[in-house]
Amino acid sequence: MATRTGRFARANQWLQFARQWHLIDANHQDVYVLGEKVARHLAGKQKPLWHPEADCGDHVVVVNCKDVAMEGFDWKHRIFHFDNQYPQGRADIPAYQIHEYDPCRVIFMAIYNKLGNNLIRRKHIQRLHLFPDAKMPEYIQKNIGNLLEQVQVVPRKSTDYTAEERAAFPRLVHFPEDHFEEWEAPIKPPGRHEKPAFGKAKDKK
Amino acid sequence: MIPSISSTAPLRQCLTLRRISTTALQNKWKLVEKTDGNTTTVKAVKMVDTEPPRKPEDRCALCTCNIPIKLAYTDVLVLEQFMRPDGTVLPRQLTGICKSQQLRLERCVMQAHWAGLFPDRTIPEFDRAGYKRFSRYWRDDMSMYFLTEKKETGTWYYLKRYPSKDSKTWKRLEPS
Repeated sequence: MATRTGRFARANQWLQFARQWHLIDANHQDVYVLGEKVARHLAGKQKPLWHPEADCGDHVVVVNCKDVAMEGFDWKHRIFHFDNQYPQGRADIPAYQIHEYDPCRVIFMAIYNKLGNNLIRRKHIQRLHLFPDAKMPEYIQKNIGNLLEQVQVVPRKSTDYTAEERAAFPRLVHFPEDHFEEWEAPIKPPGRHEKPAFGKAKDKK
Repeated sequence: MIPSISSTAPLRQCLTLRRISTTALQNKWKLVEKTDGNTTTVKAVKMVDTEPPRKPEDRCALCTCNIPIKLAYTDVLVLEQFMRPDGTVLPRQLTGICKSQQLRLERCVMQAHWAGLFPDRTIPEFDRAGYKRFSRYWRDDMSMYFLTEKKETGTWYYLKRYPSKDSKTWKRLEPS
């Protein structure tokens, strides 16, 4: 393995002994993949000097928590079971209802689960800073020294493409010789067939 | 990373060999109405089109490469060529693609609509209530057919360090 040399690598090496502040954008990122990465940095496991007894965890600032993504219909189908061990203290809540109530709660739980079951996870989770949108207080912003790479590619909307990009893209549709332009116009949906009530159809005739 | 196959690179390779003609291609028809007093005449006029017409022996446009192209919902520029302005898919009798690709295309278009990638091509009454408001992604074009209910143990432990909704305390924190 090639070793990195130079001033930059040397500064980065010394930075590992300090508490770094990482920033990550949660826009269109899977909650659990993102949570794994954030938990890794909270515990300091990305550092070669990591040891379970070494206190080398970093701070992580997660912005745009409200735009975090789940796969498919998971917002509806992922159900959290809360139980506070009291009578009537159980509740099964789908993820989207928690996310509506507090946009930082789902991602907090994902990160907290990924930190593992150990004694220092409560200290690690204290170094997590969650913000629902891009706004954050000044005293947090001036600490940030590193931008983490996102875990997923953010898909581009059709409105985000410029006219030049559209023109440079090859056209795949080839219409036949006798094609009328009117055929591409939107059609009125035929609707559902409503079955007439019993005996009604005969009465009309 | 999402395991989606970007279809643009093989497409560009196979479409470098295009049929070139010197005259302007006129292979699309358009109906033009003219009204003179009481009489209305409808005339079919030829239109200029950039691409040559499709011949009956031509292959499916999405199967021309040696590797079968697997469309994904993120290939927005491919999907919107096969769509009407209201976001529905054109029938394959017009576009001339094979049946399996048409089915895949319809699935991908629906996923793109659900992911909100066509904000200007959806019908106004498209349902975005409840869980559909939040952003979502798809691993595969078939993944919507494999539905499972995932149970998780929630935790009451929560550190709310910063207000997560608009509140007075949050507004005080902002530099004004």
